[in-house]
Amino acid sequence: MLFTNKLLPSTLPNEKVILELRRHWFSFFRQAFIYLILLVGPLLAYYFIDKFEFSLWSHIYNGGLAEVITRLAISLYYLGVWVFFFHTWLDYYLDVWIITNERVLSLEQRGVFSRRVSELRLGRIQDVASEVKGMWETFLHFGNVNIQTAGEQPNFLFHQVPNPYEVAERLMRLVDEWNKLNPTPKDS
Amino acid sequence: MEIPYTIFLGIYFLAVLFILVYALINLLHVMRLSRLSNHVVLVSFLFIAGTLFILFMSYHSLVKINWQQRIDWHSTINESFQEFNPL
Repeated sequence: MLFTNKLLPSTLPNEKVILELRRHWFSFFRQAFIYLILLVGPLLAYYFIDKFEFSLWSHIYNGGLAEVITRLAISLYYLGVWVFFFHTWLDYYLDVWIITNERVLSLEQRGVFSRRVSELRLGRIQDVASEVKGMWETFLHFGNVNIQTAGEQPNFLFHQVPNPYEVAERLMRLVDEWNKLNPTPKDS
Repeated sequence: MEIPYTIFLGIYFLAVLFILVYALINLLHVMRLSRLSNHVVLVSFLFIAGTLFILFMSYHSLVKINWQQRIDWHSTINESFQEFNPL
């Protein structure tokens, strides 16, 4: 099936989506900038070398084997960089954290053939910590949210999400509301 | 030993096929795992357009080459060695 219109892999009764989070756009921009340099850099180099009339091109573009291999290599280079650029965006876009009134879901794309879906019920959350570390993170208000769980379940980490303080506060309020609605029975 | 230029073209086509299969898998991931939105449609469109542009420019560049040429491998190696050997 193409383009699922469902946000959640499966839905619990009376479940509503409260927040849908992705990594801050700047975390994608940092990786995309490198690809932009890889795409534009050779063009700029060609322009400046051509402008100063170096004899480089006459050695390469003389109809021989060097010209053939150069043209093939440039074509493969640009095609490869472009496709890996798209993969970088895909990796950014398919990493999603969803907070509902019942649970927290983590959908992480790890490479081409690996996707991890984790779920944590609100009742299992013990503590939520947020962290903003770094110059760009401070100016653009994004960072990490670490969710400490009960028992042996590993902690959840929201990586480089926007407004981490607000997300942590909202999540703790949701946990408190859930605990009020679902009180733990006292041992007799 | 003479090597036709088409061998390099064959290797090139294999590499292009591998890259295009990888691109197709990525596109299928987008279609299967994401919700339909303007953002997704725009990025997918830009990616496909960019890929077609690169393939078109590659064709435009490679069509000028005479692929019927052959290269004598032994004489090429000897000439290269003489060029770099000052003795």
